[in-house]
Amino acid sequence: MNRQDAFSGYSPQVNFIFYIGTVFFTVLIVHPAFLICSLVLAAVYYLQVRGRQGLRTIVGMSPVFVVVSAINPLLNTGGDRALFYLGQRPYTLEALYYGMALGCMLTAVILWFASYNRTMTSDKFMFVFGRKSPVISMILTMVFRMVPGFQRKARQITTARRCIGRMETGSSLQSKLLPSFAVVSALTSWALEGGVITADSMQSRGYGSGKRSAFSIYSFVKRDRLTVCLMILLMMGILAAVLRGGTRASYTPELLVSGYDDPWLWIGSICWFVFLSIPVAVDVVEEMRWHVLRSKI
Amino acid sequence: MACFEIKNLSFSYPGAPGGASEGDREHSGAPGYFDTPKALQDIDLTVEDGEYVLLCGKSGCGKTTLLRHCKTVLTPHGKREGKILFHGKPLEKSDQRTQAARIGYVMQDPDAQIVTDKVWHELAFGLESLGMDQKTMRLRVAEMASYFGIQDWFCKDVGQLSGGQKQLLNLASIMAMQPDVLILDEPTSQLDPIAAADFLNTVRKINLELGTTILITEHRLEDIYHAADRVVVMDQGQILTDGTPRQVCDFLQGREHEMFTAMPAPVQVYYGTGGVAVENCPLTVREGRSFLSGIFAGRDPESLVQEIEVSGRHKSEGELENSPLSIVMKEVWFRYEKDTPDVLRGVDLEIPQGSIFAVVGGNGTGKSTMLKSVCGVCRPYRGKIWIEGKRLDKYKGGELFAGTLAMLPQDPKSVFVKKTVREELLEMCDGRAANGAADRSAASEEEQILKIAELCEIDDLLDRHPYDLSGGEQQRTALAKVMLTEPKILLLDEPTKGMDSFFKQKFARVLKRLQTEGVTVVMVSHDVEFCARYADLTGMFFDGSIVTVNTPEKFFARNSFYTTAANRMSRHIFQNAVNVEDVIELCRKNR
Repeated sequence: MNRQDAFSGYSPQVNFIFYIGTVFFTVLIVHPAFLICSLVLAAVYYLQVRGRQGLRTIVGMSPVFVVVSAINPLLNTGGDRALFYLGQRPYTLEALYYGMALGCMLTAVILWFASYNRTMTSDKFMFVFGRKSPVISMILTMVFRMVPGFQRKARQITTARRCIGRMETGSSLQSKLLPSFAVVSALTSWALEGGVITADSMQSRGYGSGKRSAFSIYSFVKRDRLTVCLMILLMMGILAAVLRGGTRASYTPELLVSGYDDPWLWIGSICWFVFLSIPVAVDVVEEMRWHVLRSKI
Repeated sequence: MACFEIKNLSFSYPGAPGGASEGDREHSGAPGYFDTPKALQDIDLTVEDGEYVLLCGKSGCGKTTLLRHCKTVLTPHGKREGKILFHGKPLEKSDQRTQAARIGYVMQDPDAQIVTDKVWHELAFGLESLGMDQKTMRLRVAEMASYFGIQDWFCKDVGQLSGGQKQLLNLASIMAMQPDVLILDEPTSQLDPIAAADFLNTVRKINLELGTTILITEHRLEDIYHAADRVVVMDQGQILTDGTPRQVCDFLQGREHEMFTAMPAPVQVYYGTGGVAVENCPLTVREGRSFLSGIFAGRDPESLVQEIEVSGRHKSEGELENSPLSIVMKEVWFRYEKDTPDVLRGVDLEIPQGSIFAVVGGNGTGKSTMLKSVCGVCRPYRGKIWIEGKRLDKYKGGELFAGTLAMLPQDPKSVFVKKTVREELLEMCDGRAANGAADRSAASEEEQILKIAELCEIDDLLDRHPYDLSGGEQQRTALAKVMLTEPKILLLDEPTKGMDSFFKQKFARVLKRLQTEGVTVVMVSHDVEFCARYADLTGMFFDGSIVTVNTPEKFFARNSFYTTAANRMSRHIFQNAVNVEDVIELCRKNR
């Protein structure tokens, strides 16, 4: 199921700023409250984008978490609350907590990237970077088109040559490699031939005749501006909390985590939570709006 | 005012003394081997604004070279005399930007012409190159997408489109620049007939509704001939004749020129039955029908002679029934992925040895998949296939392709890996020696190659690069390569795609010769006319299985839509006429 979620419909810049902020702070702040926030919302948003199928991926991520958590104490022996000893090496509770924090961070980042792949398609990425340099964006676009084209053609050539008995491999290394070399050679000729036609087609449509402009189907409207402002405000809030030590957390050799009596922790984590909920909230609001509209009819 | 005025244009390619000609597949500056001294000779042609001009001629007659001269960036390098005026001004005087915007050029290959990866981006490519601002581009792109009905696939990746959609996209992205003149170089040669007709209708619509001047070359004249305002026939770099479609028919018929065999069926029937007056010549099936009705007005169809002499044209039914079966398919089911729909849905098929068996049917019905299942590329999940009396699963490794079966793919370029045709053919020989089938000396290999080259009529092309050949020549070269595996069964996927009518005749001769050597030929094709003329048996493929199998006469005479033009124009009078010759013969008998 590939449902179009509301957040993907926002301007690519909005999507991009969100992901930059998310990944940056997830990696920067190791405070458990922040990490749990990030992990939970990453999972919720991923489910929203992928639907039921996403559940399998999320469950599949749990071994990563377990392994990272369990391995850290083996490498890191800081901390004084030893759970048990492996030979001479203590397996400490602090190191285990730290491992859990790292595991949490890793899974959260992976899940964010999983939804990134769905939300930021190649053309959106191009749009964010391409406006400064139409030529580079042009080259990237052509590469995006050629790679799958090559794969398709290579398959076609392999099938064609197999059907005239030219893909048979003998026992020696040489005879095993030869058919593949032939395919590569055929692929090269085909690509060169196609390149000549593509070049003609580009020139014939005025490529290189002067300054280029870049076309896009995206627009930056009021709601995008508002969202960007909100995101900047929230990020400033988080940054202030970081500087004021509200997000301080260290695990080994001693467990030092700022507690609920620190007002900056509250400010920071609320900002963080609101920031991360933007995609989910946008989607839920949209859904509710449709519900209301429909029930009015 | 004249859009293009070409005055006294002569052109020769560099690389050969005294100039050279190659023809349709020539790219600027590519060296080649040459038959005639000049690619273009004393061309005088005027194209008026808003005209629809059809340029036709055999492959290699210089059509493409002439069209490429109409746009400076595409003009090939070489020695050139004479001049080309565009709206009264020499063409070279307008800069690249002006030419890009005002002269649109659509090429043959739908895929290689596309530059970007998204449909919407491709539509805007030309506009971007012209440095237009965002607002204008949005409007133009929106307009074009609506006009060409692209909205539904506007956001798709280019790779997901069909060939017809790709070519339509190429046309739309050029029309977005609002050109005055549209030049099309065999735009439909890679498309199936339905997509081709659709494309040509769009071109016609552009001409009628927007007044854009059209200059087009085509070898599939049936769909386009009647729509043209003017037809120009070229032969060996010269203009042979230039006039209205009817005048051109009359001229070609009077000269008994070989281009006449490429004319639409109604025209051939008209002159074949002794038609004289130019202005009465029927160009479409509809006109052809009323022409025949006129001849037989007042006569009872029951009283007419209906028998056609078919013996000798192909193998008789009795002969086919008695021959052993070469391919047998029983209840074959296939799908590409576990959760995708079935492509083959219980195919039952029996193909007798030594026959030419044609499978026709719409696009995407699974015809090509059926061929792939016969050669083991697609493994059916249910059902059985026997090849030459042995179960397909029992052929191990490369056994099947070593002398039993071979397939010629849709795109002949897929089998080319070497620098010359000769090396391509030699490659097939060493393979056999390595397989241990036979040790052959160099001399006997050469002999073998020459024999095959002669059979496939490519003996004069042996030193050329395979990519420099025309579509028809490539097809025959690929066939020669495939034949060197000495298969008993030959599978062909759309063999006549991109061939003009002369190459088709040559190709058919080759197939008939192979047949006399006992080879079974199975082809999957959209080309109804070709199948009707040369197949022994024809099957209709629909919805994943073979619906009916019959001899071409019976098969096409019973269909009302999926049949030849000659049959469609004569079916209200004659029951069994399938080819042009049949209609002419019956008309003569009933006079």
